[in-house]
Amino acid sequence: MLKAIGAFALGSILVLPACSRHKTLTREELRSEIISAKSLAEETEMFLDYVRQDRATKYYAQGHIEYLTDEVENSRQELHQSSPVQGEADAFQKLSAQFDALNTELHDLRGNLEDKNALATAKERIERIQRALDAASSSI
Amino acid sequence: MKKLLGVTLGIMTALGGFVDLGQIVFTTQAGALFGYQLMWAIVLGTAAIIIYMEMCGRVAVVAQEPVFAVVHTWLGKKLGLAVLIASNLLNLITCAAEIGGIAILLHLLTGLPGNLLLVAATLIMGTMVFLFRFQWIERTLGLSGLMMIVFAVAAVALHPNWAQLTRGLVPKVSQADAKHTLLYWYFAVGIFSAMLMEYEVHFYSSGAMEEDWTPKDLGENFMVAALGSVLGSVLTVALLALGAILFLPRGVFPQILSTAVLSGAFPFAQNGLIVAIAGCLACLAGAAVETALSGGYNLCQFFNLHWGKNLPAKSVPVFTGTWVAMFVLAFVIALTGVRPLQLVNISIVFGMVIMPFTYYPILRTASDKNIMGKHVNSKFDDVIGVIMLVLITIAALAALPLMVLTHWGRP
Repeated sequence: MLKAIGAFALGSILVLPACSRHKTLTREELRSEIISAKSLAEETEMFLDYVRQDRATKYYAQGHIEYLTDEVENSRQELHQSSPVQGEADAFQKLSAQFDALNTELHDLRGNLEDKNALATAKERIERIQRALDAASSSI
Repeated sequence: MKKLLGVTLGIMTALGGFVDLGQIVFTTQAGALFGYQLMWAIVLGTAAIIIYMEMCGRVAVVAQEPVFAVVHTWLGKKLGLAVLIASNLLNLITCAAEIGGIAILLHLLTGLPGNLLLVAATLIMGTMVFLFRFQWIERTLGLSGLMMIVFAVAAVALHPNWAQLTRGLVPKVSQADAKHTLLYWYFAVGIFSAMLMEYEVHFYSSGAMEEDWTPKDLGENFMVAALGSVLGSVLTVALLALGAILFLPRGVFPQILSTAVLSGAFPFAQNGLIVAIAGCLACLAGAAVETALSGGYNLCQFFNLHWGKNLPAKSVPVFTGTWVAMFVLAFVIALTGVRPLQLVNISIVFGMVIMPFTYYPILRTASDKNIMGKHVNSKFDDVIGVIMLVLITIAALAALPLMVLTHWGRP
């Protein structure tokens, strides 16, 4: 029994890092990345509405935008370390460009959370990012 | 009044136990992906934890044997030791995740730097555990965790679809495609696992002994286990409903704690947001304290050493040293910058894998007439206990393959 548990633990340790080293994105993984990007963009838009209605505290707004930025930055870096399977280069490029755009938006927002005009403009740009991600999704 | 305050052990165990960082994000994600469809997993998990929490409390009181003493008895020294090491590693990982989560919540409340808050949170919790008697730890964290009720109020205020919520009580075996079917079962197993995390029974059975319960308190034992778990369950349902109402229609898959927290404050103004953050803070602090203390309880109980939070620290050096070490190591892990949600995902999945090895010895002891005398399990207890153990074992076997196949539940 102990041997079985040991083998299982060792197997898990070997399997886990392998799971996190996806260098070539399959079509399904690319679709999953697009879903994640759309989710982050929608999450940002939802948050902007909340801030514009003065329902977020100052510290929450600042903190949340930092965590969203970190999340987008992580996903963006992972994507930049990957390449698509053959035939999906176009969707991959579109996704990569939209992650960059979302990252820029979030960085810009960090200093402008009290400027309602800036928030309204950012919301429009994020809606454009979402439309572009929809287009990338349907091109797969 | 004393009896009423006694319920706080159940409340703290349940709130810190299954409304912790993992459950807050994991359940919100489940609601965001599948709406109310996983309601049944919450109900099943609640039934299982009530049954086993009551059982381990009864065993602790009647046989004076907390969880790791019965693990030693029924699994033997070698396998028991493997379970002890695995359990304490999981406790450590969970404690690190909760401390990381606490720093995030404090940052959202104060705007102060994360690392400074990590140090402050660890020091405050360590000092609290060192100075307070067990009862005051559970009362402080259990009662402040009640602020989480804001999530239930938020869910009701946003008008959940009660018909769909009721339909969610029946499992749907297959989804639109294979990927969604696997994801559905990954989240079902995850919710079930998060509600049955081993440290809940480690802490609860040790707590019953810390509070010097006697067989006269067995009625209270059931009430404490049931009330605490039902409260935790209601809050878990609220999290699922908030995911279904707020995130599913927008296509949001919440991946960070601050988004999940926002759901509890969504219908309210700034004060609601502060209460939601404070409620989560109390639950995460409860979980961090439970896991750190469980580390000490487990080690001492397995090796039959003196333990007890209410005893002078010098008279229980291994126990004190272990929970302090748990806090210190968890702090160091959190300081490395590893993401708390990644840690908690590991603890949920691997916690499920070793779960049968914790719950089987509890069932065996509670069913043993020689040990339990007139307080032995009834036939009904045994049947339900066995059914739950079979489900736990199936979930344990499925946890790792589901984790690999779904890439940790990525939609």
